[in-house]
Amino acid sequence: MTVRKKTGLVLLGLLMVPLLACGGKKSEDLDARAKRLGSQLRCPVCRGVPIADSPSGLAAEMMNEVKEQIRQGKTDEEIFQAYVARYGEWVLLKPEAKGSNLLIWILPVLVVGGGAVGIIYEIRKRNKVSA
Amino acid sequence: MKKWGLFLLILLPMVGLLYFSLTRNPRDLPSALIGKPAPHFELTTLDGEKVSLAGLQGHPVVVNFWATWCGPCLQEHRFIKQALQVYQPQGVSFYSILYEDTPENARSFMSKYGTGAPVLIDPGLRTAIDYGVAGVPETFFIDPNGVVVFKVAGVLTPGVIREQLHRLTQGGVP
Repeated sequence: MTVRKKTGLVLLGLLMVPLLACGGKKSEDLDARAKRLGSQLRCPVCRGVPIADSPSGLAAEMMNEVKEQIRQGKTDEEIFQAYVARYGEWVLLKPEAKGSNLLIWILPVLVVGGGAVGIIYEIRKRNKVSA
Repeated sequence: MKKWGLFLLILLPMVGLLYFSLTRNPRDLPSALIGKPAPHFELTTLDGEKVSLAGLQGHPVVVNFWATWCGPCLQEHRFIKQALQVYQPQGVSFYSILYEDTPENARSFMSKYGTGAPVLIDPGLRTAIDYGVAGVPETFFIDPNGVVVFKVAGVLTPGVIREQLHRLTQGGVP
């Protein structure tokens, strides 16, 4: 092998390094994204456990399907909607703030707000009585 | 005091409704697929024969998800065998899709309890996921146009089979 060929091979090897690094990063990103999406999808055979954390066989297959959909280039919204179309809204651990789901968002505000108003009202009433 | 009473009067039903919604079994909810085209599948029977849902169009189809380790599935197996005798001659197709189980277990089950509907193998549970299955047994009734018209989560009873298949084969309730 000539010096020129050897140099060529070394340069080719150096060029391959970033490409391989990019390949590794891509697969890591896929797992991280699948984990993020899977942590927002409810395991159908568990109670309130996301598919990303469930030990059930169904949840594991759902995770594999999420990865497949990511590889197909689907957006987060498209993946969530594909699950909602098959399982219904309950498959989302963080349901959309619409319809009766609004209760989940409004109720804590109502409880805290109502409680605060009640406390302020009581304090003022007592102050008036003591004055 | 009256204001607190009013506040509680508004709040308590809301908390009750929220509690009811959050503690309900998702399997009791109506399927998101009702009124929609049944998800397509092309699966293989225990004998290696390919079955495609598209190939069954024009006839009512009953798709049952089951497993040999599921007690209620054994209970409904008897009803499915009876229904096969009555409704298969009327053009109804029955398929039992295996859920988290092995073909070997399914073969042993069928030889022990008698052959029922053709068993389909579902690699990676893809068909179960497409049908929104959240446990077994679950059964879907598909009309001749390929639309899901009814879902049963739990044991399929002879009454439900009769009612649904009468509606699909003759139109109307028996």
